[in-house]
Amino acid sequence: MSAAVIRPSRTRLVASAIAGILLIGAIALIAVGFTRDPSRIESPLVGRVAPEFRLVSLAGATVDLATLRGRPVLLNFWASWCIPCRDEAPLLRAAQERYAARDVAFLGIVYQDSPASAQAFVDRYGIAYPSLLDPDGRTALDYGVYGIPETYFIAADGTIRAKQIGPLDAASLERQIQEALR
Amino acid sequence: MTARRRAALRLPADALLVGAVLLVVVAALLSALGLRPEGADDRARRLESELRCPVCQGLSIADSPATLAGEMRSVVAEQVAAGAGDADIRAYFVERYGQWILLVPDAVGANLLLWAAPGLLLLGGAAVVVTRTRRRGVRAPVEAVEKVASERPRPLALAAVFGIVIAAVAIPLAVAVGPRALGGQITGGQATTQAAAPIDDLQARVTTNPTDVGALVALGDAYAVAGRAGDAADAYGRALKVEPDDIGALVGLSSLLLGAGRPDGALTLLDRAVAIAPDLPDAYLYRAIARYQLAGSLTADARADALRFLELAPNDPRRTLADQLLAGATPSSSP
Amino acid sequence: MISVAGLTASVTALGLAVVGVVAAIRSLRSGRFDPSLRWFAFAVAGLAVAANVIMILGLVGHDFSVDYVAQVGSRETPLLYTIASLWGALEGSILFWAGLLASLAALLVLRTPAPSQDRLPPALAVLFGLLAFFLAIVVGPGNPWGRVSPVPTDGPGPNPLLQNHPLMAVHPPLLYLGLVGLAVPFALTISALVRGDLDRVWLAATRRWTLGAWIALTAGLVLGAWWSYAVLGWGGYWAWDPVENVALLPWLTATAFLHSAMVQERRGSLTAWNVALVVASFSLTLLATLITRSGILSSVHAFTNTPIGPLFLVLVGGVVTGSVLLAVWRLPAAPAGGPLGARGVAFLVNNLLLVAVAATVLVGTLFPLFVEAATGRQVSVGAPYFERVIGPIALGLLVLLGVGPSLPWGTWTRASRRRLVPGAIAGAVLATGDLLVGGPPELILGIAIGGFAFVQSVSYLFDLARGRRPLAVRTRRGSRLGWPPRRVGAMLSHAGIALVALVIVAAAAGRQEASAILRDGQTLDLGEYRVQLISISRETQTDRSIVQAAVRIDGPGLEQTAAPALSLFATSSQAIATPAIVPGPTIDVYIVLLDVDPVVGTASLRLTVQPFMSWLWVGGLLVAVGGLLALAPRLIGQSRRAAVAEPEGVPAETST
Repeated sequence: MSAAVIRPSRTRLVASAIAGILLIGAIALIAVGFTRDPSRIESPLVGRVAPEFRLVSLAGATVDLATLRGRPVLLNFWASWCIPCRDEAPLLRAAQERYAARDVAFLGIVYQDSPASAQAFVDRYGIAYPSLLDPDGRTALDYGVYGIPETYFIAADGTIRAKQIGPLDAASLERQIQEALR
Repeated sequence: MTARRRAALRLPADALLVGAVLLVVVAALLSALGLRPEGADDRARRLESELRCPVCQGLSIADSPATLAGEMRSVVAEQVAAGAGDADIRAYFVERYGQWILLVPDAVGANLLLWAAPGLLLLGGAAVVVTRTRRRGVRAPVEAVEKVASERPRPLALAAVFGIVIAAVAIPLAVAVGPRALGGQITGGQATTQAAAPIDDLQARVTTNPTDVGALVALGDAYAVAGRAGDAADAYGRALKVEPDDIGALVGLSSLLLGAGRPDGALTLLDRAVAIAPDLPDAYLYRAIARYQLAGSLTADARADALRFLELAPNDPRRTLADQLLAGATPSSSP
Repeated sequence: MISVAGLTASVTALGLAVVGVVAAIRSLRSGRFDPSLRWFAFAVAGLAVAANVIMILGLVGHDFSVDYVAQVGSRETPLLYTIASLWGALEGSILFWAGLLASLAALLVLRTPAPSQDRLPPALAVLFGLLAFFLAIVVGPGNPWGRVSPVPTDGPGPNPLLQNHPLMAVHPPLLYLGLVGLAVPFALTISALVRGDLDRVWLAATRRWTLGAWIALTAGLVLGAWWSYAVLGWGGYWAWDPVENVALLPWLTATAFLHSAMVQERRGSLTAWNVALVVASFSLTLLATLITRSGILSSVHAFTNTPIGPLFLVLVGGVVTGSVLLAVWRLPAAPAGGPLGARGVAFLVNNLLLVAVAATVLVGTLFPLFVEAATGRQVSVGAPYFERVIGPIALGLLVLLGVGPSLPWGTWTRASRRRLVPGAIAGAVLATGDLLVGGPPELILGIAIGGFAFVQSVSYLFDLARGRRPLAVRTRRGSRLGWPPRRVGAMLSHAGIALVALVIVAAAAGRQEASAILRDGQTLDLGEYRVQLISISRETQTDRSIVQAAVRIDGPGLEQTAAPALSLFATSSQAIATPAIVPGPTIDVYIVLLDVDPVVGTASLRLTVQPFMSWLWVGGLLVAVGGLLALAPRLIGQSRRAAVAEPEGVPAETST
């Protein structure tokens, strides 16, 4: 084969152009991908009516979400083995005290944990709101929980306004409660 | 090898090839035709393998060791046992986790691109290969000397060529669409109608006659089967308002309460059910479970109920539940 | 001390690589190989390897003043895993990558015979440029040499998943070697494009270097699957996880190239296609690195999100755009080329199918990104999609694998068809047998076609061993060895692929699984197998606590104890399951301890039995061994002259 350079043929130009366009598309795609966290699953429940549940708390009381209709609800899924939950607990406790006057109901749902460990956690962090047991995990499944802590902000009309995946900080907690209060 | 013997071998070789290809194709077709509707376990396993585990995100819930995956598997198993269709079961999870949960995206909208891509690629590539070989020619005149003999294509040889080419194309196609479409649709379709039709019918009946206890109970059962526990409880509750002693509603509602982790409520209902119908096995099984859940261990009462259930319904598929209950407290029974 | 030495070596290597690029371009202008390039290559390689050795010394000596050591080291980690942690995390892996690339550049200079050395300057410019990129990351955003102050007394240790199995010391380096190795054929191809000599010498050298990288990649992938099976505890070996997929991509295109290169060897055509395959293979290795290093797609293997991702994106974009432009300008018009012949067409179809598989895997892997960017919705594309779509194409490839080697370069004759008889009989028998035992159609086809391909490959090997070449009217009896290594190697690899395919089909069909929560003394039954929990024991080591479930396994010809375990690491909340595997020639028994309830004293166990699993590794490694054999004449050192003459020597082995 000679070293002579021959003018590129039309087919080759077309093929290269197609390859180039596909390539730029793929690169743009990956660039967009950099802005996303792939392990974060958006919940389809936001904007919809919160799934019903009727669960028994650690203290033995039965809590039915339906009876809380008319009040904003903060629903927090947690477990004693979850390390970020330990940072979150004091925040939630403070928020509950702060929002007591606004009639916001705080509920915890214990996720994949034994009642004994959960009770110890409640005692340790002085959690005053009910911590509900979900022995077969169906409520967590109904809410599309995949990794705790996860927190749902339910408005007075019963629709889910926001979902926090991962631990709350003071700002995100404040912002999302306001969202549910609107 | 003498020329004569070689000639004797020619025919059998081509015939053999054609025969072998035909045999494989026929075997695959026969097997596809004889494919039984898949059993409940196989169906559950298939559905599980198509749902992504939210915890170990790389794995399906069939493979994932996570606790959540286990809970999701039990949901799938329950719904399969209850006769829910594939689409219903997938919808149940999509409702909660979004399309993300499906490892096999539905062939709708933008997803069509995903499903069409391999086919388009193959077709486009094949077109290039064909034009190329046409232009160049497959035969190599330079190496015509290589030919063993100046042979003309014979019918059998041609058949062999076509057979192999067709097999190479048809077999993958058959695998891709044949059995899956066949097996999948049969089971899926049937199940969907089973689960969907009664709800609508029954709702209509209940709307026209709100005191039709039979319809209310049937509606509750249908809802329970479809995994809509809230609606089911509602239907049973309405039935009990009309007829407080309806045994079907009592047992149905108590099983829902058990599922919701409220054995205390279930126990009250079941005591009443047993008083009304002392020979109904279901009530005993559920009461055994309720008592076990309440006490946290197998009390004498719970044990008696479980044994009574086994006595009344020795061939019930749920007897494993009773067996497990009994075995749970007596580990020595399974050495 | 370590920090200073390591950083000095890295910076010097970077400087030399940059100067090397300039020197190589100057040498290209003169058209002659500048001998100083030799020394640049050796010096950069020496320094890059030295930087790696320094890091190993730091890791082994637990010098926690070094950033990377503080990040992945721990006094409690066994020596093997301490060394393996060099490539276990992001910064170290890039350092390791640079070391491999520099060594390969030096090897290229060493192994290129004198008459071909004038071709090297552009290739070295490319390799030095890539090296400069990697070393710039090592010195800049991915600097592992930072000083930690105050110096911690101990570190967290490597990711628990990476210190659980000795394969971790073998699988990543082989995979990296395979991926990095594809840079050399890429550099040679760019060089040939620039110089305008895409000739036989280019083809022979590119094919050899690709083969070398392909061997390492094959072994790396097989060992990776093995590691996944032995460590991840889900009973499978390939999850179609994004990181696994992107490592498979260059393997597929490199495999395609190894086949299409033969068409160019024999027929002088497909030059442009071969250039495209070489460029694609290397670009895909960069894409693999990008996806692995950036955490852009969630995966068990991905490293966490870093600023290095965008840099890689720029590199991938630059490499591909540059190559495409270069090809458009410099690629000579396709020569008239002779007719392809039956074998040539088979190679073409083989390439079509392999590239279709690669494209499907790529599209499927990137599709969730596409949908999210376009619609904001999140979708997943997982194992069932890939199995459903790729399964049929793979069957087509297997048919071709069995038929192809019987085809002459000329016309398809009856004599060549006769050679298909053993495989056809095997396929027919297997299909009938499967039908009789009631197998589903996928199984019947998979086993029949896999059996056909395997028996055919073995029969070709027999023919080669007996020196029988019934079709080779034109054979030149010039081969020095009775067994032509290249063909024997190819057929061994084919047999390995067919074996792997058979196992994949059989293991999936024969897989059985059961799980239960057991107390001491209780049993879990699955078919003929029974697992009895004997006891649960807990052991606390310095860096981890291990819960073991002692179990007794009974089954046909099997009566032994095993101990699946769960490890909890002090520094990680992740519990790592170590499955107990009892491998056997016909069946593997696989037991995973999923969970332990210490209060009640129960263990949750999952028992999986899968037939023939051991043969998967045998088959996979056979593929790599076949490659090694094909490369053997090069490795055991024929004369340099012969190396150049190779493309002329090869046709001595004709089609059969």
